[in-house]
Amino acid sequence: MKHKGLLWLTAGLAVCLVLLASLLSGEVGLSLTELWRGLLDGGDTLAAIIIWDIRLPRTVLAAVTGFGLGVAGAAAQGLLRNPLAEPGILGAANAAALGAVIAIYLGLAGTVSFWVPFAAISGALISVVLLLALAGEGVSSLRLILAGFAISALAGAGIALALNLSPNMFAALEITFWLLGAVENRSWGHVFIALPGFVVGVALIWANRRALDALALGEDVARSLGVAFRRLRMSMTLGISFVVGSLVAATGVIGFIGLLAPHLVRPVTGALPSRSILPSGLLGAMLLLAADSLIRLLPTQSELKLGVVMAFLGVPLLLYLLRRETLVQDMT
Amino acid sequence: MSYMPMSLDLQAVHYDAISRRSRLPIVTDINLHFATGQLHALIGPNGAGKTTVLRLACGLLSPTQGEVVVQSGRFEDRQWRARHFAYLPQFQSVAWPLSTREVAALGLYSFAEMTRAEIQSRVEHALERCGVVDLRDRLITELSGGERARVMLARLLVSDAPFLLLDEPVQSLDPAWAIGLMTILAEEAAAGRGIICVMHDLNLVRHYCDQVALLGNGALQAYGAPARVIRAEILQSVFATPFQDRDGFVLPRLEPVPS
Repeated sequence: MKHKGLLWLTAGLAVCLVLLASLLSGEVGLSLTELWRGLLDGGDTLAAIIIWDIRLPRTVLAAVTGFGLGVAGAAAQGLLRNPLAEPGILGAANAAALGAVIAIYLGLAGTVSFWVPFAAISGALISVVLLLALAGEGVSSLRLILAGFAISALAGAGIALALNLSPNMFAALEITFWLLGAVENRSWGHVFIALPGFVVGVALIWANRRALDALALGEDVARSLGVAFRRLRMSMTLGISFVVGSLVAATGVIGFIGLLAPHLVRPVTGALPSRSILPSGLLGAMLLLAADSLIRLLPTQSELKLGVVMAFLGVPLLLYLLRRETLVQDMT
Repeated sequence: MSYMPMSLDLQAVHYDAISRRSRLPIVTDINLHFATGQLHALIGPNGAGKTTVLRLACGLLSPTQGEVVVQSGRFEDRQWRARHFAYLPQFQSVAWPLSTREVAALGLYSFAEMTRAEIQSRVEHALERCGVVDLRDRLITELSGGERARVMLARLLVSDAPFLLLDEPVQSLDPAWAIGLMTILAEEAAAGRGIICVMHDLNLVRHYCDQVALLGNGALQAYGAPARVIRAEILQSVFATPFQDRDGFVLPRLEPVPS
């Protein structure tokens, strides 16, 4: 027990540290005292404006996104009993991206306007309805995965079509950049748009987390242990899709976190799915905050996109896990 | 430990596998009576419907026709069933490298009111009985097939479910542990649980079980005490192969290997 408390304390401290790092990094150098004053005093000082209007929304959005993707990834792996599952596997990520791309394509908005997230959330919702219609009556997880894959592929094709038909280079570039995923230039508005779906989704996942443990022994055993399997699958699917759809709406597509975070925490938390959910969220938040701080510290001409950096950081981590063979277990 | 005496009846139960295009009868007109305090076996050729009957008996399948009736219980209530029936499927799959202890503790999933200490002591006791207590912190994925099967048995024993249903529990066990497992099941029956298990080893059935149901072609062919059911002439007709009964052992007759 003592050991466990220490772990949580360390995790909490680490989160605080990356939060601080995220708030401190940026073009204008701020000292700790300036940060503190800006945070507390508010008002019209330069530091306060930078912190409250620019840095804080970005930091909060990065933290929420990392947390949500970590949680959704752990839930998707638990639900599908598959270590390769990631939050986008059910199709919501691509569907949300398609919604956003359509909004950008139609010229409804620049990439940071609120029409984009609204269109993205609509896309995610449509994908959930489609998914449940395709796989709702089916019994096997495989059917859910295939239906998700179909939706994902369809949305991907839609995105490609939009790029293909885009009226000019700039529109295509705008779409491509948005797809890369980022938390820069985001305001509180973006945070608030993502928040309801995020909160509802995480709550749905959290409320059903223990059933995932029973599901580890297979669907039949889980049902014999009292799990209402269909209800569980419905709640988890909705939860994952809500989280992913809302986050993609605010940030674009950021990969790898949802796949990696659960694997990275499992050596510490053990393999019970319910135990990896919250730690995956915390680690996801930490990873994304750290990556986003790194982006701002790198002396590149134009800021790198978060999705790009995450992929570059993610692949070596994935390879490391492969070498340690914690990823690929005997699954029979 | 004492269990509430209960009985479980399958009354004129039919089960059809229904797909969009076809309707395939799996079991027809099954009448069976299971009671606590007894060790029941379901035997029969491959594809006879043993697993289907077992799944019908614990509510994992609903009969297409007929009824499953529990005296003094709410069989239609999922939570009630979870606390009164523990089920071990034929094919074990564990999706994650859980520890032995974690797997066994999942048997108490629907007993949320239990304290951590109580869970721990029940798990310890069950692992001890199944001879895998020294493996308590090992990962299930690292164990041999037989060790894993014993951990799965421990998962059933941790709870107070009055009925245990097992689908071919001895399939991966060595001869010593096959007897060990049957002994544990007989002890549980003596303590008041009702045990229903699908079996292929007819001699273990003859020695340990109180009641045997012989299924063939989806129908009940014989039902009663082992001495009445496990007889060469009955088995012969259902399994469509010659059996011999010698020195108290019943075995299919071995044909010479064609050269």
